[in-house]
Amino acid sequence: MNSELGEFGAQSALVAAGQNAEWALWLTVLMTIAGGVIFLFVLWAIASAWRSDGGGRTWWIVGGGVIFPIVTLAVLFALSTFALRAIAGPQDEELVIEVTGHQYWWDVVYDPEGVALRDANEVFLPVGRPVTLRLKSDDVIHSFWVPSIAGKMDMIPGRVNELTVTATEVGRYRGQCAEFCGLSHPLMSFEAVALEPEAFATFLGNLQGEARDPVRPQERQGQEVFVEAGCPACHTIRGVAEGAQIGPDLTRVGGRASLGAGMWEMNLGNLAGWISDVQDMKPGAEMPSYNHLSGPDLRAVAAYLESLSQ
Amino acid sequence: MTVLDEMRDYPGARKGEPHKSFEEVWAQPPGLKVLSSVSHRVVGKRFIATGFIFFLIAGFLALLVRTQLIVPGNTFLDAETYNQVFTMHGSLMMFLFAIPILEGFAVYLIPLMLGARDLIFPRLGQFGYYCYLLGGIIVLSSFIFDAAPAGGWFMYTPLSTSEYTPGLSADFWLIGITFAEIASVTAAVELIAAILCARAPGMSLTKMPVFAWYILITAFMIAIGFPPLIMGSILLETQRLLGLPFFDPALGGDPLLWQHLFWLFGHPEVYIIFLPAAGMVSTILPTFVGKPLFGYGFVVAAVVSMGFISFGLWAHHMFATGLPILSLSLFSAASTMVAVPTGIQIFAWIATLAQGRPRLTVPMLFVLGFLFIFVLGGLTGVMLASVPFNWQAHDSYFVVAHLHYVLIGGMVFPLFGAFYYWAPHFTGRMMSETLGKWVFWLMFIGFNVTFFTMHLTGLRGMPRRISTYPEGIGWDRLNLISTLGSYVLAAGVLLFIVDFLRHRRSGPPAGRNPWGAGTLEWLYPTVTPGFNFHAIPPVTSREPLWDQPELNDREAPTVEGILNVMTDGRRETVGCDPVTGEPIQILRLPHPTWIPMFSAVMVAILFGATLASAYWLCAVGAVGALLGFALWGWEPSDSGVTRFAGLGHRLPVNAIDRRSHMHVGLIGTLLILFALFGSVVFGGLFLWNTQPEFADATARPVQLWAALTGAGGLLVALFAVAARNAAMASRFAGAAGLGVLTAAFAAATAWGFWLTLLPVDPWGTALGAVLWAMSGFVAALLGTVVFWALFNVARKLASAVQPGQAMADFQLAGFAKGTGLMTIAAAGLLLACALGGVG
Amino acid sequence: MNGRRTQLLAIAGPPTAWAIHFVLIYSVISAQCAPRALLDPASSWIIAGVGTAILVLAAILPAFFLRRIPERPLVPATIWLAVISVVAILFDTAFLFTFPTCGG
Repeated sequence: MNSELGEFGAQSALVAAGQNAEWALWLTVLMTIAGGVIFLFVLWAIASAWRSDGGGRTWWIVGGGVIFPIVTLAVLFALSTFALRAIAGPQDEELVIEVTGHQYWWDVVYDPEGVALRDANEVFLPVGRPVTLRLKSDDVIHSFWVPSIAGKMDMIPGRVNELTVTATEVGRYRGQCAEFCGLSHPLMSFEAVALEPEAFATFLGNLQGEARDPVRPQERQGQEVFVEAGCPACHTIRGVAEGAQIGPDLTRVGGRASLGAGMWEMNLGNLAGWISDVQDMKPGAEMPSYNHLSGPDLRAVAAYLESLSQ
Repeated sequence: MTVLDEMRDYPGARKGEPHKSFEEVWAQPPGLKVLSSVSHRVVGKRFIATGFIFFLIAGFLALLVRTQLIVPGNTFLDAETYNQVFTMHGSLMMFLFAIPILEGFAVYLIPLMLGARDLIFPRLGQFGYYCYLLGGIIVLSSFIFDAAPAGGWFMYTPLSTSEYTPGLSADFWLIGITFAEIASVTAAVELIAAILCARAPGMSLTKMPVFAWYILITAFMIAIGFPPLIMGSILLETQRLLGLPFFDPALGGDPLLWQHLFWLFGHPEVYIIFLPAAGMVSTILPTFVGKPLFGYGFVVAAVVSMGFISFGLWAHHMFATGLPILSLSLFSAASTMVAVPTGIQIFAWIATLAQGRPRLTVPMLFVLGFLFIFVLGGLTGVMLASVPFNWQAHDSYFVVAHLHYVLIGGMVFPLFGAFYYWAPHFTGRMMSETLGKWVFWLMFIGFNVTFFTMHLTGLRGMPRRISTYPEGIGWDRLNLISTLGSYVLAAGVLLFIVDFLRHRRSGPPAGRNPWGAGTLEWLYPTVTPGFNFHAIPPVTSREPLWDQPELNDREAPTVEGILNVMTDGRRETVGCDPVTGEPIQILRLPHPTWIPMFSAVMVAILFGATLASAYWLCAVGAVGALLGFALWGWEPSDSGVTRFAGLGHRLPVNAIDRRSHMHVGLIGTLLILFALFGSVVFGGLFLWNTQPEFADATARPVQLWAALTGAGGLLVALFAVAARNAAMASRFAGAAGLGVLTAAFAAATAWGFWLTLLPVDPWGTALGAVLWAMSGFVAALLGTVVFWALFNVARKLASAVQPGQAMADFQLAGFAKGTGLMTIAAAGLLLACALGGVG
Repeated sequence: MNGRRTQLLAIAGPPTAWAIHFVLIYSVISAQCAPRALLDPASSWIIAGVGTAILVLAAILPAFFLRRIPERPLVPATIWLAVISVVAILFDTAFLFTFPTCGG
């Protein structure tokens, strides 16, 4: 495990950068204060009951056990419903992003009804614009959770769940699978990247089209190795090998900040290590370890993949 | 003790030991034969001891979990082992520790508190215990076969299906846990019947110690709450073994159906664990205040309403599954409402404290610790009922903190208080007040350090069930603190064991009523003799030892009461009217026997052989179990005579009456069966409603056969009732003939289900599979009717029954009515499918 | 009706009314919000409203037979059970009218 993940920003419900998270944080603070006051009141009641021997009173039970909870709960429930309506109510000008959970990575498709731009393990969001995430799963149940942006929503095979979020602050926020999904469940994270709308438009523009052509000889060799070693059976690199969707789309893999679904910093060393021994880095992943590649081939394919940034 | 000898050739007397004295009849069998004991005291202690061992194992697993998480990126356990460890920690704690140990306390204490010499189905108790033990061993043995379950204690599909969990690990869980659950439901039936039908003379419902109310409601909750999981586990195991697509989304199944069935059990389970522990608090607290529980009526109202409302909360474990907002709001509202009965109980305890000068003993310390922790856990529970907050906290360490506050605070702290409080009952000696205070403070401080921290860990975004986490995202220090706290907590538990072992030899003798309690279990000097009461005293107060001086001013064995005579050399206790507590019958109790153990072992072979795919061995187990049950039932009947019972009462023995223990036990059993039936019907309606296109694709059952099957259900019930009427009128030949017809119609009706469903392919769609499962369940009940009816006929042909001995027919009629009702309902649903088309 | 039955009914009645109400509301929501969409919001409001009115009455009905309860200590228990049940029934209904559709 590495230490540089801290740089990717917090994974905390206490640092709200999205509308849903802000509502939840507001409720958290309110309920914590109210709960604390009630707790202290009960402790005080126990302490004074301990000291007194005047006998209990029926109105304690009626007041403390019936009326007080009903009033408090009615208020809480009303607030909670208000927040729920604010979060879940219909929004205008929604952008749709489809995220599919896999053991143990995330398939991300922007504008699935339109030009359908496929990417993986990073979800870019424009600040201030509601985005509807269509959450699906291809194998077992996963759960999509970026605490700073919104609460979690499960990805259930056979169903499509929708989660509408609005990022409110530019930044990078760590997310993680929140439903136990098997052996490498703890190694299934990702990043949500909130951008200004213009930057987001630029990002989408860059995402379109084919992958960057290899420039250096080593990168060209790497592209050949990629094709010959059979990688296109699972991975797509647009313009090089298209159609396969079993593994993450690699068209802009070098442009991602992390490798292995948000787990390791994207660099040449980690890439080569990943390709040669993925089963050690992420036990139970569908990809086999390519430990039969020669040293130069491994370096070449890693260099090629690292060069695929847009 | 006078031994009465009413001479008459009476079959029930043949089971007696007329040459023995009262003490000898009740004596514990010597040597290894003690394994054949049916005494609630022995069985209860076994449940408690076994449960505690599972607690230690599961606690050790928890320490492994905490040790793995002490630093980020730890390599102490690999991911596979970690997943096994947390899965087994949860499963053992929930299924093999919490419920069984509390049932053990109930089994042990209820007869002592209510004035009975034993539970009234002692053999069922022995059977349940061995099911629990063997089921637990099956689950644990998975470690030996290197196939420990690793899918979480909740076994969510599709992760737990054979596609994603090949091998046997999930099967060990499903089969072992389901087997162990048999113990929970049998104990539930046993406790319902014992509480309602075997109380001291004059102990009406409102004079029952409040603990009995708690256990009564808990037992009803078990009877209704466990079946959804049992049915779900059967469906899932069938999917794994035979490939029926109940939860397969590709064929119209739904992973959410498993979650609904699991949490329909899983949420009430929390209250099933909490209520007996709260009952302990309501028993311990008044003793040390020296005044009765304040607001008995309020507490009864709270417990009853909790028993109901807690069934309406299950989906708050599923807030993040994409349920419609309206469903979320319903479950959110119902979840908040459960705070009302909880609040009533807490303020009733506070009001009780205010009535006197409480003594700060070790049990009392644990009660105060319980109040502190449980109130906090309850408040975070209310927070979790708020949907937007729940979306953040769900499946994060905040929930881990909350559930441990509720379960450790709500159950383990009262349990340890109960150990200190009732230890004299088990050993005759007092545990140490000094060491006890150390145990408490270590556990209390360790607990809060471990789990209070986790609230923050969760809000900082740490999900549950991860074996490792990266450094530097704000979880390192919090996890370190939690782990250190868990070691302190473990030290407290360890010190408790030391104290317990120490006190057995060197603790001061407890004598009679060491705490000055008011309830009946303290009538005798500890350890109470195995028969509990020489004579069962009439009860006129909820705290008889405080308010009835005649119980205290003489030696316990000489206290006046009913059944101060022994008849027919039999173990017996007094049976009462369920509401008023008036004595209405003498209940004959079985003497030590091996048959329940034999039956349990045979059922274990049936279950275990399924794991090994040795289906011939399954058949051996099934036949052996049926043989065991037949031997169990094939004994001379006790009914049909009256006997002098002392205190001027002459009572029927094992009366055939709707108020009798057998009938109440039957109602409890039918409740379980209806809940099982309801669970599978829920599954069918759920799939029909959520997957219409697959419902359309399911073939139609045969109309005519569906209608005939329904009619068959009616006939089965009618003939069973006719057979009962004939037997009650002592027309045994007629009853035998009607019994044969009952069996024939039951068999034909079961066959009718087969013919009805022939066009429906159970492998084709999930809905088709559920229709088969529903019909298969009802057919199995019809098979039971066949077995039972023929059994009754055989007894009549063998002249094993005499006039007045129609209990078996009486019971079968009730069972057949229930089965007939389910048959008609199932056939009606099939007919609806056939007429309207499944879609 | 004899005292015994009244007593059992008085204890079990109100929470049973709650249970029936809960099943009713759950069924209405399930019928309205599943793919089959068996009910439109207006019909579910009518069913839920009428059902709630009837079941609230059913929950407070046993309180009118308190005189027949032989065991006096159960009388407050009965009354409070009715109170808790009615409040819970109303709680479980109120939200239905705050959301116009299944999705909020």
